[in-house]
Amino acid sequence: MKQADFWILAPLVLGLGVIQVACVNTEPVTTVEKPSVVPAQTASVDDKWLPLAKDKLHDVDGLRDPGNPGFQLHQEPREELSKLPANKARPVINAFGGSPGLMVSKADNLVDWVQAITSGAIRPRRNIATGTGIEVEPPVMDMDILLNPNGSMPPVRFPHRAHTMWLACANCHPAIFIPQKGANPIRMYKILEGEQCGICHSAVAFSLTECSRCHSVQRIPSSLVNPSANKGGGIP
Amino acid sequence: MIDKVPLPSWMAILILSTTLITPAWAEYADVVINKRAEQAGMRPVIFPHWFHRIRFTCNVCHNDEGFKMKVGANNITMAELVDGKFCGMCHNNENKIAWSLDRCDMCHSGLPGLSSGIQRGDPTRGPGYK
Repeated sequence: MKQADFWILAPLVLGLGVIQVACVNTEPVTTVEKPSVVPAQTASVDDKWLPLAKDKLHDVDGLRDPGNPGFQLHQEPREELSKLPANKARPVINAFGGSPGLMVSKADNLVDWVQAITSGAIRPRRNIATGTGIEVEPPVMDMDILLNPNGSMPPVRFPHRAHTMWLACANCHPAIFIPQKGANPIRMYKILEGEQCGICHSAVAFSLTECSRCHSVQRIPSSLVNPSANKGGGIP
Repeated sequence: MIDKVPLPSWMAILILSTTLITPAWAEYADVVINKRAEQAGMRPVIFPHWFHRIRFTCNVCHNDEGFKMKVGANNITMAELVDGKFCGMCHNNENKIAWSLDRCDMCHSGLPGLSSGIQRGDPTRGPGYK
């Protein structure tokens, strides 16, 4: 990198962090011109779940209209999410002391949702109220499926239990996965395109960058299990 | 070296870098629904997945209420909600579960100009993601 490039890029990167921190503050926007006072207020828990917009100048969440009459009635994300088990596999990458603009991802809402429901931290309703005609609670099914036994990655253990605590059978079967052994050629490319597992994972369930959470089974070398299966050094 | 870069261009770099690179800070899986809302003179709808999933399991909306699990695949109208379908299965005056449909501003709460879609997915989502 040329020295001239450095002097252009360095303030750009620094300024990015500083100004976006300033935007989170509830102070007037004039603090942007005095960035030196801003970073002291950043490294707090609240950075994990940013507040909804507070006024017209600081629309922090970027979606909700602060001019909307119903705005003040909305629940703040951190009010609920901070009580739930944290997703420890997903540290917040936050290079500039809390600047939200440089958070790489807040996938999962920074919550381990499976642990949240299995531990009882949340007890979501599993059906709609009586009188709607849909009152059946879907069953929880405890059956693990081993996928990808011969691939280069560690095999996948698919837990039906964690999925059926959230979903009904018909959410996945038979439209997405045919309930029959060997009938579903699962490919990472399709998943990354938002098909198969990718319909939920990386969109609303935990993200596809947590490889080992699915590819979780330690493969035992076949030579250890059955020495005769070792074709290379086997005795005829 | 630093003196040779004029001040106005520094300011331009700072302003451009924040306006161009800054995405929305929405919570993971917040959904913007704006197929018809803004055309009809309403704010876009913001659906927060996190708010609903601490209260209901996925199947309640995605199986029982009939919401398809694909962005853009659901084509719902207010008339259907009033008839008690989709959101209207809970958001009504009868069940006492959620606020009723006359509280327009509670759902039609988005900034003008937002385009429909799910927010804050990972960068791993592929080319076919919609």
